[in-house]
Order: sequence, then structure tokens, then C-alpha cells
Amino acid sequence: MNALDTAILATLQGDATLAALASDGIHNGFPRQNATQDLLERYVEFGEETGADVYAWSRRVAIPLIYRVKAVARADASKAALEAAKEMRERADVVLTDGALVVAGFRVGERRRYGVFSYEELADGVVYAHAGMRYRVRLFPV
Amino acid sequence: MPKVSVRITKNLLPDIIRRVPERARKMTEVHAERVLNFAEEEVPVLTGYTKDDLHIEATSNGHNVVVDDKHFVQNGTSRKPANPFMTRAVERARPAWDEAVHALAAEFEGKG
Repeated sequence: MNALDTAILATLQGDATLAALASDGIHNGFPRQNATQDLLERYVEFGEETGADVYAWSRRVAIPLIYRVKAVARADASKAALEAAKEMRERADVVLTDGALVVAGFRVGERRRYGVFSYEELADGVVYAHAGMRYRVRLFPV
Repeated sequence: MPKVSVRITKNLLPDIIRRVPERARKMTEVHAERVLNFAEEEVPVLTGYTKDDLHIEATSNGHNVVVDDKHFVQNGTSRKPANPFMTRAVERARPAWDEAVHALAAEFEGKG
């Protein structure tokens, strides 16, 4: 895990409201380690999607990054699952955008979500609702 | 109290207002082609269905790069991790878009 992964994980896990909503935890990356592992029912996962360092001469001056933060909820009643997933996503946004985000070794610049998405997946007769956002963060080395 | 008056001898605004939407639309078309090309490079290919489905749709205010089942690949499922190929494609194309916007602004600033 890099410094931002660590900071996002600690920030999300540190919020009691989100922890209560995401009963199967908050995960950096895809939470299922192998095909035989049981599917989780309510969780949040996040991960880096892209990032490209900005240099001034040979000095790295900024690191703009895009993360995906996504909540997943399993239910037989599709609407309830989707609402649960959206509730987790909205809480994650409040925590990450409006709360304190401390990243070791960096000053945190712009940070905001810039796109939301939601969809339902039907797998083996079970609906999994996904509700996520893209989260843009700009770090400055200190 | 001193007075300041400004006399406009040449008003470029009507020309700019008329031309910007037309130019912007062309820019979005060119940019969508660029994003589509990057998306075709970035998309994971198993059956080829997703890659074949990538296309551009014209809208009332620009152009979109579209793939119908993108959520499952792009954002993942309960069983498969996300592979955000569209995000990578958009970010790869971003510098060219920024350059095009600056060129357009410079073109209008330079007139007159």
C-alpha cells in the first residue's frame, strides 16, 4: 500500500457511521482473494485508477491521482440493496471530501469526487448493487 | 470625480459567440475519436465483445464514447475486480484536449 492508500483506508475505517453501514469492511482493492471465498454482502472497496506525476525540471512537484471508491450491497430486494450501496457511497464521499485527509510525506491539494455511478449485477439469482464514485486527489511532496 | 469612457470600435463578441459552439463540437468529435482509440488499446479482451461494442455517439452538446456493458468491466462485479480502461483512456487523451482548448482560446484572443 502506498501512503495515499493507507490514508484513505484509515480515514474510511475511522468513521463509525461508515463502519456500521459497511458490515463486511472497507478494503483496499478487490476484497475477494479467490473464487472459493464466500461473497461479501456489504462492503466498500477502493483503489487507484490512474496517476501521472507532474515534474518541473527534474523535480516531482505534484501527483494527480484518480481513485475509484465503490460500495457493494447484496440483497434479494434490488431497491433496498441499491439504496444501501448509495448510502455507503454518500457517507464515504462526506468522509473523504469534507473530513481531514492526512497523507504521510505529502500535502493534500484538490480532492473531490467528480463522477458517480450505480448499477446492479444479477449473479446466481442474487442482486448485487454497486454504487461508486471517482475521487480526484492531488498530492504535493513535502 | 474623473470620468472614464470606453468606446468600442470593433466588437468581436458576436463572431466569437457564433463560432465557438461550432468549433467546440468539432473538437469533441476529434477528441472522442482519440479517446476511442485509447479505449480500444486499454480494454481487456477476452471474447472481444466489449471492444467491438465501443463506439461514439453524437449528443446535443458533443460526443460520447460509449460501451453498453462498461460497468461490469470498468467498475467490477462481486466476482471480478474492476479494470478501469475508460478512465485510463480518458486520462491518456487529456493532454491533447487541454492543448486543443488552449489553442482555441489563443485563436480568439489573437483576433483583432
